[in-house]
Amino acid sequence: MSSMRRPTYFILASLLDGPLHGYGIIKRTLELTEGDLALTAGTLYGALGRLVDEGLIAAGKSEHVAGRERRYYEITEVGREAVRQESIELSAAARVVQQRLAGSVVLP
Amino acid sequence: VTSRLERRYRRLVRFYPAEWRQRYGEELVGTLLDASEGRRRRPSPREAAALIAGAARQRIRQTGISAPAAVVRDGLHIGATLIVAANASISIFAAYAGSGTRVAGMPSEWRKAELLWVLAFVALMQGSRILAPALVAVVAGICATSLLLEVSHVPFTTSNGWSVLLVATIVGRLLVPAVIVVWLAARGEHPARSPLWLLAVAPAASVLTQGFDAPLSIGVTTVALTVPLLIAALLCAPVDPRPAIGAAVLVAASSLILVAVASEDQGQGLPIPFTWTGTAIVAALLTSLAVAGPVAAVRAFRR
Repeated sequence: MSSMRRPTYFILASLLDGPLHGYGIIKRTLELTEGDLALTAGTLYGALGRLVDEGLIAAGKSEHVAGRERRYYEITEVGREAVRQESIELSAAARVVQQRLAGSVVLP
Repeated sequence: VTSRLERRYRRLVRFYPAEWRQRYGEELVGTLLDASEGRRRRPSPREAAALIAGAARQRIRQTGISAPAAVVRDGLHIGATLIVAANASISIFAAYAGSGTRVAGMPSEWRKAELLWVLAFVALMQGSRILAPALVAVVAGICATSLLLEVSHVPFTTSNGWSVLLVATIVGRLLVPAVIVVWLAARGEHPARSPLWLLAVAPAASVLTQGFDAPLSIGVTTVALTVPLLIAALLCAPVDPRPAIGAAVLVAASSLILVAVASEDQGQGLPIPFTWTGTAIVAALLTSLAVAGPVAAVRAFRR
């Protein structure tokens, strides 16, 4: 079954389209989950630090916008493989249920 | 110009370890301000809670603990340290404040061991690799021997000199901390403890006075002191599982004594903490702590 937390999964998924800064990741995960996953900055940065340490993402260039620091993060090959593997496991788990629901008889 | 909101965010970010703040602090504050989109005057409770929880997680990570089993072992060490602290406090009480007071389960030799208990506690707090396990093992051995030699001091003693309470006292107060400390030291794990743990000594001592001939007021104080702290340890488990695991060790040691007293009660009408009802409540609390700690430890290391 799933070995990755939902926020981690969607943080990695949000970076598949290209590097993003912290607030960019928050907005992108919100879009990807159709408003279902509103990451807090505290949760996001806990995950980012861990993912950088594990080599799943890398910290890239940083810039200053309106006096605020913004650093861009990009997914690594290891991260790409981890999220791909996770998506396969989730699909397999979903298929098990969907096949049974499709074939089941609804009791009155 | 620093806004009031930014100052409030910066205050919350200060909970994180300094090294982490240097790397991510400014960026985190920037993201918090971006996410507020100028609509907020103060951090939302959800964001504030996430920052505090995130800071606590970073502090666990910085201890070098890198696996759930290591978190559990650190929690066991906290539990053993608290039992040693409790034994030190109780033996000081028996030696100085409690002259003339009969303290059940504590023979006279144990009262003379207060200095050794204090030294063992100090060595544990400092993370001494050799001295801490040696002192804990020696003082536990002395106290266990004196208990066995003076079984008449233990209430509910049966005609052959043995009682469940005697065994519970030796196992809960002496064997459990000694085995944990010696086992961890043999693995090369002898962490130093923060002075903040001194705040937990009084509640720990009050938990382990269960089974003594203490007046009811002490029982009430025990409940008032310890129940909120145990519940806090349980609630904080998702952030830092170690206090919950440490509390589980402490409550387990205390439960052994409660079960022993309850099983030998023989309808004497003891106060609630010593009855089967009290024992069941403590057992429920112990189970919650014992489950919540390791489960939270595993979750803390999930990706």
